[in-house]
Formats: sequence, C-alpha cells, structure tokens
Amino acid sequence: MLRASSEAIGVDADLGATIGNDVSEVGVPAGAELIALTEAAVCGEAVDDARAAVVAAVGGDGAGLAVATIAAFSGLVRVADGIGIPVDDGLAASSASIRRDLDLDSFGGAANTDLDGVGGPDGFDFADSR
Amino acid sequence: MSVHVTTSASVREALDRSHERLARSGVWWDAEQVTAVARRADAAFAQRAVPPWTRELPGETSNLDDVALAVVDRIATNAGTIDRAWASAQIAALGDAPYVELVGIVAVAVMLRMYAEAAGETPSAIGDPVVDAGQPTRQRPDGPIDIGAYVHVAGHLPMVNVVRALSLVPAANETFLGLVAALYAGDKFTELVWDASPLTRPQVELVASRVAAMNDCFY
Repeated sequence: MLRASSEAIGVDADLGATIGNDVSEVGVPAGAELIALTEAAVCGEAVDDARAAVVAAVGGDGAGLAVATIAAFSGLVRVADGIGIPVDDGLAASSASIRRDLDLDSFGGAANTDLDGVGGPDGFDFADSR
Repeated sequence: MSVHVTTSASVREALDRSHERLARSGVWWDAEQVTAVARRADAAFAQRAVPPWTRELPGETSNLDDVALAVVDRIATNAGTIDRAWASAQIAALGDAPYVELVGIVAVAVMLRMYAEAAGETPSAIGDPVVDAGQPTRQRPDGPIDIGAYVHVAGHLPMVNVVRALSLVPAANETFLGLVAALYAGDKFTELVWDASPLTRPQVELVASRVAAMNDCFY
C-alpha cells in the first residue's frame, strides 16, 4: 500500500525505510519524524520527544492519526502472526520484487504463504471477491 | 511538558467501547477469564522493553491454565516468532476457537495500551469483569474453510485474510475489526489518495509498514 499510494500522488517513497534503512531521504513528508515515533512506540521506549516532533511536523490531528495507525497495526500483526494467515492470493506474486529487495521472505511468517502465488488450499481467489 | 495528540471523537468512542468489551464474557471464555487475559496481555506488552524473566505479570492465580498464559504472553510480546508447530500445539491443548478468541483479546488489549502510550495518555486499567454479562455460548460459525492458516476461517467472508482471520469466533472478529476500522483507514481502505485526511496515505502506510517490519510480520 505504501508503494501504490505513493505512486498515486507522485511521491517516490524509499521502501527501505520501512525495514530500518536510512530514513533521511525516505521521500515521504515528515517521514523521519513518523518513523522515529513509530520505532520508539514499538520498542516501548520514551516517546515524548518523538511525539512532539511529529506534532510539530504534521499537527495534532496528523499525530493522532499516526498514533492510531501504530496502535492498529500493533494489533493487526499479532492477529496475522497468531493465526498464521497467508498473504492473499495474487499479492504473493505482485510483491515478489519488493520482498526480495527488502528480504521479507526471511520473516518466519513467510512459511505460511505459497510464495509462488498459487491459491490457498480451498482454491480461494482474492480477485473473485472484489 | 508532554505534547499530546488530538484524539477524534470516533476514535475515543471506539477505544472506550473496546475497553468495555474486555470486561465481558466472550464466546469461549467467561468474563473473569477475558479480563484476566486482557490484564495479562496489557502487563506483558507494557513490559516489552525488559527481558521476559524480569517481567512482573498477573495471572498465576487466575483461572487461566499455563497454556493460555503462554499464548497470551507470546502473542503480546513475540508474535513474529510463532510458527505452525508451536501454534498447533497450543491449539491442540486449548481448542481452535478458544485459541482464536485469546488472540483477539490480546490484540485488542495491545492496541489500547499502544494507543495510550504513543498518545501520551495514562493507560486505562482493564476494568473488573461484569458478573452478569452472560456465559460463553461456545457457538461455532457454519462452514469454516481452510485457507492455509493455523485455524479455519468462516467460509462466507470473501475478503482479505486478515479481515477474516478471527472469524471462527465472529464476536471476537467484530470487536477487533471495529477497533481497527476506527484507528486505520475506516471505509477508505481502497482509496489510494486521502484528500480530507491530516496525513497522506503514504504517510500512514509508512508508519504501518514500519510497525509490521519491526514485528517481523510477513503478512
């Protein structure tokens, strides 16, 4: 979604920033501040300074949405990994180059997905549900 | 002086509603157990920055057995390392639907704690169980299907897998997704350009992707 939404508004986002690479030129406005807040929050570190920097960069409403997103995905990742859901059909194939570039296939949860992009055991086809 | 963020009315309402759910009976776990799970998850997640053996966690005297406590701790603090062998062993001991409900309760408790911490708010304590909130119905949905996950999911939900991940316990799925929708994207998930938003979609997705990567979440 980061790649697709960035392309939609003509932003050249550096996806490497999502795995901890240099964020100084992430390409997303206030990206460095948003990443700093995210990392502090996920690690359980003090977030006051990082949050203040985000508020200064994007305002209180923007910071509120950033915090809400951190919270939402802290739950989503636990459900995804706890249940062991595979990546949705079609996405496995279309994300192959990103996964390779970011070494995402080394994550343990990769074992739950047929990385060749073949349908799941029930033959579910994500494209048919849209 | 701590700088706080702006919390919208809809987000506050969703947070409060989710807090209330953690004091009520689930489909497979009663109100006391749901509350015990939420308190344990909240405490474990709050202490995620310190080594596991130094954490002070509630629950050793609650009505949760060691398997349930282990599931709660693992989901709350180290879900990215879960594999099929470990999950299958816990599911064999607990049952598939009770396991699913545990995952949902923990996820909600973690979201509530994370929001408070990141927003600069004092996290609300998990409330006492509501004693007259009914008993677990232990009802299963019809026609669960195998999508290759550790458990089956409801077959009538042709959606992205994370949206139906907890659907073996529909009430847990509803509570979880209700909070997620209030916090992220809502009805704008398919829109790549968010015009009336305080953050652009790429800004939001940058945050989302970093959270996922830091948790080693492949999905």
